[in-house]
Order: sequence, then C-alpha cells, then structure tokens
Amino acid sequence: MSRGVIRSWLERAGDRINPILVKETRQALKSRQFSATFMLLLAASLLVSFGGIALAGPDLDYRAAGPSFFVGYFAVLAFAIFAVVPFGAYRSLAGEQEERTFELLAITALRPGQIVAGKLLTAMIQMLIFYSALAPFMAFTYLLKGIDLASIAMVLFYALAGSVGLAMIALFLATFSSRKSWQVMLSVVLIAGLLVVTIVSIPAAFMLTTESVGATLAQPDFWIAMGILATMYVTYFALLFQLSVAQLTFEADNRSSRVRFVLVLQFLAFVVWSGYAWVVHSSGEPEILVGLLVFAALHWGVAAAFLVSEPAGLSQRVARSVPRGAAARALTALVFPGPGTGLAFLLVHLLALVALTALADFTAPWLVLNAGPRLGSKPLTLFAAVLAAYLFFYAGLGAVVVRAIRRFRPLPAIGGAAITVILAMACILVPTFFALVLPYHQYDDYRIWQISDPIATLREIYKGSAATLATFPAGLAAIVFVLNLRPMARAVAEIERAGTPRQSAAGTGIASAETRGLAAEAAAQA
Amino acid sequence: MVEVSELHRHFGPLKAVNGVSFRFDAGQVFGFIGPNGAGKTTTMRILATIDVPTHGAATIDGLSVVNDADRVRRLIGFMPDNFATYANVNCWEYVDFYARAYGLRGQARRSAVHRVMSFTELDGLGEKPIDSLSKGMKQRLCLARALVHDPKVLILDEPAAGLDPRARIELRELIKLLASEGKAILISSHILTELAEMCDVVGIIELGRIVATGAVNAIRPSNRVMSVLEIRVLGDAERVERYLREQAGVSEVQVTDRDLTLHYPADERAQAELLERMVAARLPVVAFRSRQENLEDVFMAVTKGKVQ
Repeated sequence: MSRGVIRSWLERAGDRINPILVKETRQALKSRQFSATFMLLLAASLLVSFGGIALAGPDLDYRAAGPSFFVGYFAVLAFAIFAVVPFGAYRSLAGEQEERTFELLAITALRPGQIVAGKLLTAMIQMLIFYSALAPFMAFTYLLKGIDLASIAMVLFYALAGSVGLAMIALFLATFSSRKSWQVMLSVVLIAGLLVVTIVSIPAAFMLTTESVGATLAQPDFWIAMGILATMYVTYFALLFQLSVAQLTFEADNRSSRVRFVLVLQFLAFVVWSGYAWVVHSSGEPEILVGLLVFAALHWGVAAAFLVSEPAGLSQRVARSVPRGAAARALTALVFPGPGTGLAFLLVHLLALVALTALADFTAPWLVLNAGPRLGSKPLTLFAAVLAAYLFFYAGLGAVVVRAIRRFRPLPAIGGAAITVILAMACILVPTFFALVLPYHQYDDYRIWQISDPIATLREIYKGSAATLATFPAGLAAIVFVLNLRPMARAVAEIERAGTPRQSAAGTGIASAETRGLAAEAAAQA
Repeated sequence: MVEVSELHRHFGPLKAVNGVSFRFDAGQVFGFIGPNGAGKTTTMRILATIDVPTHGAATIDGLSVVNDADRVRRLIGFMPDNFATYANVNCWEYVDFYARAYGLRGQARRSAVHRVMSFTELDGLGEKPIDSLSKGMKQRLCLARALVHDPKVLILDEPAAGLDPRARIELRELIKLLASEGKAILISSHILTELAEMCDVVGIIELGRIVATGAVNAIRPSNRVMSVLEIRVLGDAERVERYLREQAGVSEVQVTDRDLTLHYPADERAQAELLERMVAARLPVVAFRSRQENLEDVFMAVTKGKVQ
C-alpha cells in the first residue's frame, strides 16, 4: 500500500473521529499537565523498581516478590488513572462552561452526547497511554514470581473499568452548575472522593493479587456475580451519561426521554437478575426479596425526586417529536418530559414492582428450585406495597410542593429535587430522632406518630404484628395521588394533543406558556 | 432575513428584554446600540439560540429560533463578547476544530479553513498559539471561527471592544466586505461613530425596549427633524443659556465654557430667525454653526441613561 493511500485513508478516518477528541488530544499533547504526569509516572515507576530491588537485596532471587512490586506499580498507576485523569476530565468540561466556550460548541452541529463522549474518549486515551507506560513494569512483576498473569489482567481490567466509571462521574458533576462557587465546591468534593478511591484501591489490588484467581474463575458464582456487577456498571454508566447529556441539552429540547428509557432498561435488568437470584439461587427465604426491594426503593427514591421536579409542559420542539400513531403515542407517553408524566412513570414502575413481588411470593413453592419449607408467614407483598406507597407519597408530596413554589417563583429541576429529598428526609428523620431521644420511649416500641418513617413502619409490618398499619401509608399515597391526578392527566392529554395533526402544524415561532416555564427555569439557573 | 417581534425575556422580576421588535435583510448591517444592561446581549443570545425568549418571536430566514434551533444554528455565526478560545491550541487547530464541529469533512473542511484564514488575513499565523495573539488578532480569529461554516447571518456582540484604532478600522472593513457579500449582520457596539460608518440600520435599546430604529442617516426619535446648533459667545454664557432655554423649539442646551450646543428644528429659516433674535437681544454671539444630528446626538437624545 502506497504512502498516499495510507495518508488518504488516515485522513478519512480522522474525519470520522469525534471533533472533541481531536481537539483535546492536540491540547493534551502540548499541555504541561499531561507531559508532567507522564514523566512523573515513569520516574515513580523507576523509583519503585530500584527502591524495591534495593530493599529486597539478595532475597529477591529466593522469595516471591511479584505481589509487592505489583502493588508498588499499581499505586503509581492508581494515582494517575483514579485521580489525575478523572479530575482532568472534570476540569475539561467545567472549563468549557467557565470560559463560555461551551455556548459556542452548543450552537455547532455537535450534539451534547458527542461532547460528553468526546471528553470521555479523551480521558480513556490518556488512561491507555498511562497503561502502556506501566505495561513493561507490570510484566516485570510476573517474572518475580508470586503473582500470575490472570491476577494481573484482572486487577488491570477492574482498574480500567473503575477509572472510566470515575471519569464518567466526574463529567456528570461538571455538568451540574456553571457557577464558579459551585464548581469550586464540586472540585473539592471530587478531589477528596478520588483520593479516597485511590488510597482504597491499593490494598484492594494487593488482596486480589495474593488470592488464587484460577480457582475463583472456575466457580460459576463468580461469573454470576460478575454478570450482576457488569449489568449494574453498564446501566448506571448509561444513566450517568444520559444525565450529563440532559444537563447540557438546550432547555427547549427533550432532556428526559433518553434518561427514562435507561431507567426502564435498568428496571428490566433488575427484574431479570432478581428473578434469576430468586428462582435459582435462593431457597425461597423472603430476606433476599426484602433486600432487593430496599435496593430498588433507594434507586427509585433518587430517580423520583428528579422525575417530579422537571419543568412542566412540553416545549414546542418536544411536542413535534410526539409520535403521530395512537399506539406509539400510548406506549411512549410516559417517557416525555414533565413532572406529570414523571409521577405516572414512577407509579407504573412501583405497581410493576409490587405485582412482581406478589408473583414471586405466591409462586415460590413451585418456581424456586431449592424451595425449602416456609417458616411462618412473612407479609412480603404487603411489605412491597407499603414501600411503594411510601415512595409514591414522598414523590407526590414533592411534586405538590414544587408546583406550589413555581406558582410564585422559578425553580430549577435540581432545586425541586433537593426540596423533594429534604421533605422525605424530614418525614423519616424527625420521628426517628424523637424515637431515639425520648427518655420514656424504646426505639423498638412502635408508636403511631412514627407513621411517616417508612423504616420503623415497614419493620413493624414485616414482623407481621400490625398489618392494619399499612392502611396509613396507603391512605397518604391515595391523597397525593388525588392531588396529582389533574397534573398527570393534563400531561398525558398534552401529549395526546401534540400527537394529533392539528397540533403538528403549530410552529409560528411564538413561544408558548411552556417555553415560558423553560425560560423561567433557565433564569433561575442563571 | 432576521425578524424579531415583541420579544420578551424575563429573569424573575427583571425584564431584560421587554418587547423588542426589529428586522433587517441580507446585505444589511444592523447596529444595536444601548447602554450596558439595556438588553442587547440577551437579544443576541436569543437570536443565537443560546437562550429562549419568555415570549415573543424571532425568526432567521423564516425559521423560528425556538422551534427550529437546529436549522437556525446552521445559518448563524455568533461572536460573543468574550474571545472564547482554548489554551494549547494554535490558530489553524482552533478554526479546524470548529469546521469539524460544524460537520465539514475532508477537502471541504480544509478549503473552509483556508478560506476564512485568508479572508481574515491570518493565513500566515496558522501555527501561532492563540495565547500569543494580540486582541485584534484574536478578534479576527474569532471572526474566522464564526465564518467557517459560511453562515448567512452574523451576530457580533461588541466585536470592537478593547481593540486599538487600527484593529477597529480593519474589523470595520471586514464587516463591510461581508455585508457586500450578502450576509445579514447584527452588531452591537458602544463606539457609535464606528457603527455609524458601517451600519445601514440601527436600533437603540434602553431598559429592554427599542426606543428608536431606522436608517443611520434618518434615525430620529418620534420622527423629529432636528439639527445641532453650536454657538460660541463672548463673556457670560449663562445669560445666553437662559435666553435660549426660553425660546420655542430649543432643547438639550449644554454649556462648556463659552460654547453652547443645543438641538433645534432643522429648518434653516427658523435657525436664521433665532440668530436674528439673539443679535437683537444684544447677546455677544461670536460663532453660530448648524450641523445634522449624528448617531451620538440621537443616542443621547433618546436614552435617559437608566439602568435596570
């Protein structure tokens, strides 16, 4: 192949590369930060080599020094890939907002997704360069015995996955606010977090290298655990990516649908893995389902706070993307933006969760492969229903309060989510506080004034001693359902209207009341 | 080409833009004048699709900046009031990056970069780091960046701010050249003499409202036709000032030492009669000169210097 052909092929390939990646790589190659980190990495690795050899002395020939040397090199690598690279990714995106270069990027043909992906790819390229610099040293540890190649590969793989995940978290944090004060605070939090991860990773790597990986790899449970971890990693990564993209998306565009699609995928993955764990790996004991329900509640609790705090109404741009077919519209109605559809979206998932728990509970004797005799009767379905009722109550209450505030002043989505979380925390923590400090009260003695605390109430219900308690959270959920019924119905009706041909002709350029809401949100963020 | 109708942008209680309307066509340069905080930048940001209006409409080439933002973005080149450049990037890389970001590929990208670098006379500075450029050169680079996808409309926010006289004149010539190529240009500036020389139409904005708009040589508040009279007197200028303030049609009298300036109807007969009356009143007039109101006079006449 001639040089001309290769050059032309490379140029065509270069045209297809993310422009952000091209720009950032050019910048990185000229930046002092990158070259200084690279040189320091090499110098530190050499120091570990010579220092280790000097410390080991003649014993080096007789003992298995591999793990010790490996951990030394890993500590050097960990600092670069767990601290320097993710923080660099954070600064890169935060800097675009601080220097107001992001506005210019936002009006090019680049999509917010391409911008986030470009920053992430740049971080990954840097990680790989650091990896390649450390590779000869890592290979050297294998020759020193006491460590196998599988262990080295596993640690490096986990470290790479962890580093990419941290870079994604850093990019997500960078999209939170363009205000300098917030950026400084987030920087401090991020640096602290990254240093903790770096420090914790070193003994973790040492533990992994000292255990026999070969035996672990042969166990089916290991691969199942890996499958669960990989599913969680991929789905939460996708969620963070879409959240970052949403934060960078123009206010009048659709910021929600992709995030909600990811939430649906996460829910399905959760159901599949939970079902597998229940049917194949349990003996029908309810605790496993309780644990899974609590995990789901925490996940949906955070998601709900954001779902119910989105700005109300469809912008004209989003309205034009509503499907024209009635069936497609019905299927996708709840993924369109807005607090009304958000609350309905949450409700559908909570009802599905309760229904699936009931199915698991009642079919356990036939479905669970290793089902043992059931000791006593645990009200699992009731537990799931009450948990769902609490979640819906707090989300619905948040929606009502956010709606009320927005009548008087603009409130960004992040502010609405914070209010919803604070409300829920107050309802949970205030009775807990009194239950702990009142001198005549034992925490385990449940009182009706603890009804707003789901932890105490669910514990009581799970004991099976107070099933009637369930009527209170159910009643609270019913009240907030009634209070939110109109906004939910209005949101669905708006989508229905937007999907009809009459509405599709709209496009006069006159901003609607909905756009006003978006503008108010943007004003609050400004 | 660009049409803004009853545009509003509110930030809580602050009405940054409060019913702005104007329009201009391809090949025209529209000068946007107003004191700081008048709403110029907010209006420009809405036209650049970076912000959304609270209500009102803005269209570019018939496309709504709210509903068709993606298509509008292909039509506009925006230069904000900051340089918005990157560290560790040279001039060629900077323009090349934006060419890629606008989706230009292969030969089309290389030609576009070459075209704008050559138009802004930066072709010899391609390898120079941006950090080492002068303000004038940086401004040219930003203009090159805004032009790389060959937009129909240019939105330039204070492009001449901080530039030395030579750089300002060069920028003005570039803008005139772009207008002659058929581009519609919206430009804001504090340097009114600059605007007067390059704009076809101007709009004066204050407190979020357009207070006067029209062709540069015809713009008048409330359609008035006024001249500026410059009078020099001997001795007591205060007595002359008092006399002039009592005369019908006289407005905005200003005294600097022995010189007075005032606004008076542009009718030459009326001006001759005023001079006659002053002489009859034994006022010591040394010089009496009439000139057309310029953009600065109109600006001072129609704005009150209020800031929100």
